[in-house]
Amino acid sequence: MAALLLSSRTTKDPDEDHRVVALAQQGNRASLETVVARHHPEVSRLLWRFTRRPADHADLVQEVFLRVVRHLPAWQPDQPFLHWLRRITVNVGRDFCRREATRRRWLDQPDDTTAEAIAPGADPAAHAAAAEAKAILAELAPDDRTLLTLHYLEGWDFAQIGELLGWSRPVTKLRAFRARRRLRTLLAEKNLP
Amino acid sequence: MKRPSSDQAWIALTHRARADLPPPLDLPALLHRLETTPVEPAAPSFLEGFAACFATRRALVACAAFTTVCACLATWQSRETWHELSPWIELLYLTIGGPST
Repeated sequence: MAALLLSSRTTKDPDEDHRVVALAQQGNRASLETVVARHHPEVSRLLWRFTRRPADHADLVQEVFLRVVRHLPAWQPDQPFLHWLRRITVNVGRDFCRREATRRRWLDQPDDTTAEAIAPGADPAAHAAAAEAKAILAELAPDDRTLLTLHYLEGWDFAQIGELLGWSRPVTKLRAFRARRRLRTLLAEKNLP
Repeated sequence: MKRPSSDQAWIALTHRARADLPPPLDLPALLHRLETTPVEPAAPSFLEGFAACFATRRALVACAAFTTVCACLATWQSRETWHELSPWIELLYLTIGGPST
């Protein structure tokens, strides 16, 4: 476990990544654990942008790595692993947004986030700001929510997000334009101070 | 002018939100869950399998050959049809008066 924690803190070297993932692809369990240990902080942070419930968050992280394990044989060594992993993570996040939108539509229940606990060491102001931002973004359509979550909370540009979601550049531009317009309407309705 | 102030407030809010940290993960439990998942070759989906049929260069040659055969068949069939129909057309033509003299 100490070795895993140590490897999770090391800098991500693409060549080293490539080597470890290739070993994991051949069924080496230790390499798979190294991959998880090395990349779980980024996956965890990225998925925390989508949800506000720790239980959902843990499920989503698990879902990402299960997909990685299942689809590892399909990974091509000529593609960067980090890009592949981000693609899976973003798709899991988008699927979560879709499920949540369906739940909101049919059950008409507000998100139960009152029991949400602040992680030890977390900045309460940042936590409150994230909760507010996520609550506003949750009112958008799933694809708009995914796009704007990654743009505003992760700081990614729209072209990068479109590439990860498999959208062409004009489609991404159009979606970004419409999503921002809807967000502006929403912010005006909420009268954000 | 509410819109610019809302935009600025939103940008400020999301910048603050970026510092929010996820709760700690139970890494041993995650690894244990992954241990029980076998690494198996992923079965190709229908679309992948279908696309793979046309992935080789042979597919282009096969398509060209198939198109040629279809064109030949269609030409031959239309010629046959014309030969079969032409006496009837001629008969019909003569019935309605034939060539004007």
